[in-house]
Amino acid sequence: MTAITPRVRGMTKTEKRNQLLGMLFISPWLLGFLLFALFPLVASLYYSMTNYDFIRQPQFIGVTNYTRLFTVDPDFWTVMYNTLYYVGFGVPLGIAVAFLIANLLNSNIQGRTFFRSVIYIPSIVPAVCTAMVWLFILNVQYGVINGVLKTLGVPTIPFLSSPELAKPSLILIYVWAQGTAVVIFLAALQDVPRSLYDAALVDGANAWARFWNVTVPMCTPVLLFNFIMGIISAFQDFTLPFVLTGGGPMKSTEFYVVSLYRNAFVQFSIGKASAMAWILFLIILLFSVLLFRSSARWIYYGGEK
Amino acid sequence: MKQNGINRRQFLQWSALTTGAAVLAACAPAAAPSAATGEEAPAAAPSTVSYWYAWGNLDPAMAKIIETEEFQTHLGGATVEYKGSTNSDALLTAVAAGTPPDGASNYSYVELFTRGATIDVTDMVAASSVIDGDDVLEGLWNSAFWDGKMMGVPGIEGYLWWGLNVNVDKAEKAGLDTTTLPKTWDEVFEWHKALTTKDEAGNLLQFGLDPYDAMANEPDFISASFGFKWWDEETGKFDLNNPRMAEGLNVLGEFIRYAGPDQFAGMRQVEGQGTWGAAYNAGVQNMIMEGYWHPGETQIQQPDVAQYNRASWAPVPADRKDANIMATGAHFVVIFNQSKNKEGGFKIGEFFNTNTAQDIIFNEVGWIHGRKSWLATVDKSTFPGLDFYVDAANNVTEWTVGRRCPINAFVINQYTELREQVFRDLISPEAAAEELQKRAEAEWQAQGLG
Repeated sequence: MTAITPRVRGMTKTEKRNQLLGMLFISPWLLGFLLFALFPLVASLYYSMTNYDFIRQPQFIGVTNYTRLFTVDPDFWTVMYNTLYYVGFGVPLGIAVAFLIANLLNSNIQGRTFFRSVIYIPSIVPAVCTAMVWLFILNVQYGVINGVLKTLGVPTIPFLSSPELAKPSLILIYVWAQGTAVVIFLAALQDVPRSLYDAALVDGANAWARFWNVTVPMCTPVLLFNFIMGIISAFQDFTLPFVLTGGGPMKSTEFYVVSLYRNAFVQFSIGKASAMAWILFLIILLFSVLLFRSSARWIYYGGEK
Repeated sequence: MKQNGINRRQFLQWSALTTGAAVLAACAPAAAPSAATGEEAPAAAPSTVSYWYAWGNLDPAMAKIIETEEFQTHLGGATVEYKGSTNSDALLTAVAAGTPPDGASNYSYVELFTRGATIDVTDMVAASSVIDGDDVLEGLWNSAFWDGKMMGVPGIEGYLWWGLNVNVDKAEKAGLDTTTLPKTWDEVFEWHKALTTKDEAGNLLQFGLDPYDAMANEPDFISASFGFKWWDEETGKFDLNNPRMAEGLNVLGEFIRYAGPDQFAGMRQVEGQGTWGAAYNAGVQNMIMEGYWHPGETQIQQPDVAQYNRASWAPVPADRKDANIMATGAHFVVIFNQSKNKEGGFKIGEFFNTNTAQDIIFNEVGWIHGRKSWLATVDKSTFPGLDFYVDAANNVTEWTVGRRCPINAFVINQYTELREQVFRDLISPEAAAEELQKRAEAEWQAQGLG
């Protein structure tokens, strides 16, 4: 039996013209993408396999930058540990707190609009300003909290200057600045059909049961979204540790991107920095894929998988 | 029906075309300046000179310099495009893109020159009627050279880097005799103890010296103080795993252990946000290792503290108490291989060697350049503590030309971490010195400098 293959119809003149016009219309974006996204991406992959310092011609060295990072670089594993600690504790905690706050702001509390605005403020304040404010809240010498402790004659707490406390302190600030996640959760909460709560009430569900069996499942797609966005941004957090602690004390807040920046722009090792960028890309990709893969088990899409 | 104007589709077509063309035009490489050959007519001198400066301090002085008729005449009427507070990431990006400024100052001179980004200015300086090498402090002048070539035009500022500055008011209140300032580490430590106070709960209220602050932050200082060279410029070899390095890490670490590492770290975090030496200006740090700029900067920023400032020799161990150690190094105007107006960049550097420029910089920022004929005109009582720096040059017994290692920034970064591990008692000083040596050698190889 001969297989019947559909005849491929050529494009009509009008279709070709329309396609050309379409390409023309998107050409500003396309050019921007090619020049400012794709080219740097490909270039950085090439530089990651070179010895390059911005000035001299890059020398191709294969995967040496990668192997050096994993085997001899004095900072790589330290910054990797710091970053994983920050992401591992900060993101889940940030999501949980944001979701909790969004639920509170979704209830009929007095001054709800005011609180919603206040919660969002950290998201619109430049990160440098945020860092400076927190510096003068947490600093052991001049900070507001420690000022009060000093007045009370109690020993101060070195939030940012003890290697043990510096990372948790940065996580605290990260959790505080979850305004965007709160707003997204709020939007999701307002989409939860009232009828589901009414049905749960008729079934005798208490507040916790309604929250756990209605609110949470209905918000899982948004939870996934916020999780992925949180992971992507936390892995790349730069301003807060750079301004607040400069990576110290004892490199306890030297995060991955801070180290990448130092390698590129302070130590003239753009090749090594490019390799670090690609490793980070792969790590974020891995986390994102794992989250997506696992999502079928815990995301509720209105009865559809 | 004939349409007037253009329709929506035409509008979009033309918009897309125009935008695309504009993007392409913007991305096209700038025409390379043609190399002047003997037969070609010389191109007209560009009417602008771009000059970048890494920090923000120079801004008020530069504004005044540009206003002077002498400067305008010197530059032949060219317009100066000055950018202060332009960090090294901006500069490196411009270098990589082939669009560096015509002149730049206060960047990593050795790193830029040894990698070929900046040009040798020996011939330009030799041909200058303004710059006189014999009139400049010898060590300072020599700091401009790398492998016999001149890395940049010295002149903007540069003099003596190391002095122990003390707030004598605080010292006297602590019962110390300020007739003679401490010279050995043992003496300085006694002062440190006297000047360090805590409240009843053990919180640090003020302290004496942070031995890793300001100019004491770099390996140049600990090695000079304890009498060894951590890096040999001739051979490119490191000597960080030196017993005296370990000794130094222990001695300096004791200052921090006494006050509490966490308290110190907190102090430095705040200090780093303001200008260098902010804790000294705030009156909570009472001794600081600083250079020639310190008396003037403190006077301009905090006159009520500056009035009590006095300076003396940088500390050394007791077995080297007769050593008067000092570092120097000029700041330069460097000119890049790809600078469009090299002559203009040079002229800016050249003008910094005039009395007019140096007077303005001294009065506006508090900085000095070690040009002997100009130094003779300086009233050393202008700023408290300045007299030490003006007089010290003739009494130095051991000179260090600072920041010569091409991986200086890397070594400082590792040194910062390891010394902190020492004063937090996580590692022995000997192990820290050994580890630092290992890391420096590995990076040297990794950067292809071996």
